[in-house]
Amino acid sequence: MVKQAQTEHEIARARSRRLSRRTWLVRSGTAVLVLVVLAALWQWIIWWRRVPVYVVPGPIDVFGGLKDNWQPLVSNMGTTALEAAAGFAVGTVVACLLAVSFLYLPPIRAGLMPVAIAVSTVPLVAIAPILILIFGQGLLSKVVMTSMICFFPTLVNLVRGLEAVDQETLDLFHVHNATRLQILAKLRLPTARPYLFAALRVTSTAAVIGAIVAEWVNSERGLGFIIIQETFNFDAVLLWAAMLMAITLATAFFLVVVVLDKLSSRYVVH
Amino acid sequence: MVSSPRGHFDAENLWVEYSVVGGGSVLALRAVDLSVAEGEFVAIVGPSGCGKSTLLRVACNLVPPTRGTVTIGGRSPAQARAEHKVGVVFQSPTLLPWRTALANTRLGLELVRRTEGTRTPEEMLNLVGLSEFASAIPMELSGGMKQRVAIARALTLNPEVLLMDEPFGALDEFTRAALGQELLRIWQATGCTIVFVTHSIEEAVTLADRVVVMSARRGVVGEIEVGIPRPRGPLVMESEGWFAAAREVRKLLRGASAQAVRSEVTEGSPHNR
Repeated sequence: MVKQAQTEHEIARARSRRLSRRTWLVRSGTAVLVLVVLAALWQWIIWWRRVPVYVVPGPIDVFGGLKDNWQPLVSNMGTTALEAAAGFAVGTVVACLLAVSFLYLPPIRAGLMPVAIAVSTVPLVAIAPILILIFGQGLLSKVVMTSMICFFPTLVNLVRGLEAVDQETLDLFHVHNATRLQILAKLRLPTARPYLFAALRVTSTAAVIGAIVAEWVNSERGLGFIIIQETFNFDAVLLWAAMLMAITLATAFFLVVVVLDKLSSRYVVH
Repeated sequence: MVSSPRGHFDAENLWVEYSVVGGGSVLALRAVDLSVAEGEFVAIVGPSGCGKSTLLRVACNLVPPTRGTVTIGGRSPAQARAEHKVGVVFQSPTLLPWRTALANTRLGLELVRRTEGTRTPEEMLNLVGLSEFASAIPMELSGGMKQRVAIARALTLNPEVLLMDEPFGALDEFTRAALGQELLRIWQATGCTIVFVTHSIEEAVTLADRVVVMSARRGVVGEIEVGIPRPRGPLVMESEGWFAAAREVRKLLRGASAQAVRSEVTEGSPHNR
């Protein structure tokens, strides 16, 4: 009878895996279909109302612009991507280190949390010029900007996640005389994992936006730079092309985080 | 007090008082005296708030006694914990959801970082009848199965004393009965001392050699020797001996609650003093 239960159990697990693959196909297919329909609708409205290309270009014109300016667009996207990724990495690492120290050193938490809150409430557009004055026109000011954006949500969520362990499980660890490091590694960090990724989903796109906003203020390269430049040049096609690249970049960052989240959530200690 | 070499559980004049936020204190345990012989299966029965869980928490060194002592094999709770002579099973299984049943069973060994004198997780999982589910995660296990993993986990460290705090309390009657039988089988196989806290009189009388009755403000009210011979199968609940023991336990509990009402009327609630 136990053998039968085992086989049923394996079937149930395999079945739940199979269903999700089919659902995934249906869902992504629907998403693509919706995008195609919207693009077609956009093009049709442009044609129907005879909107001039320098006001709102249709998708056909935008893709034409993408093709013609592929090289510079990609290279500038690379700059923005680098700024966002570096800031994301720095902000996340600092948040993680600070979260762990908050957990074990309450005086540090009491002292630094108000500072962190203050830093997080300053609006992006206000802080960007200040950072550029301090760190210059190049990449550094953008990286500092995106680090600041990525830092606070991750810090708050991680502190919450590390403390979200329930008392009975903690008692279990204490009864086994677990060291603080063991409790951190075997209990708190796995508990905090979903909280961390919830924050990273937000900060990954915010990093891209932050890099672009900083580029608007003052820069020589990047998607934000192109957006500003083409606004002044009245080149709507290139402007929209740059915007499309920006959307794609932010979505790519988000998808990377989502994939990492799914993979890490499936990891089981055997 | 004589200290014995193995598996002897003793509480002597144990008082535990918690201080409450906003001033004042709550008396959780009052002058508790309890002695459990090596290899004995003792059940502690009492209404909610009588302090039976607190007694176990003092034994695990999670709560310090205000007065009095608890010794396990002649050692203090802190010492016994350091030497891993005590195993604990709580009411909720407290399994880590990201670990398989086998990895959860292994958790005790990982935390303790010791291998001599211990049993392998595979062996213990087999003992509780879950070896086919070694690679299942807690989400895929029923409540009874999870609790069995928790028992296996406690047993890997080969404890002298197994402290169980209402381990079957959250399960349905059928699972409880089945797991009770399992526990008796495991107890016979390992020979450890078991201190089993429960609020079910039936469960206490079915499983234990001796039932200790506690009440909220009077500590240990009395002890009943359960004279039913072993092995005790599932039909033990229909025997005369079982009814007699259950009757005695209920009498003690009734007497204790009547006393409590009387003392509250005459002395007032201890919280007002």
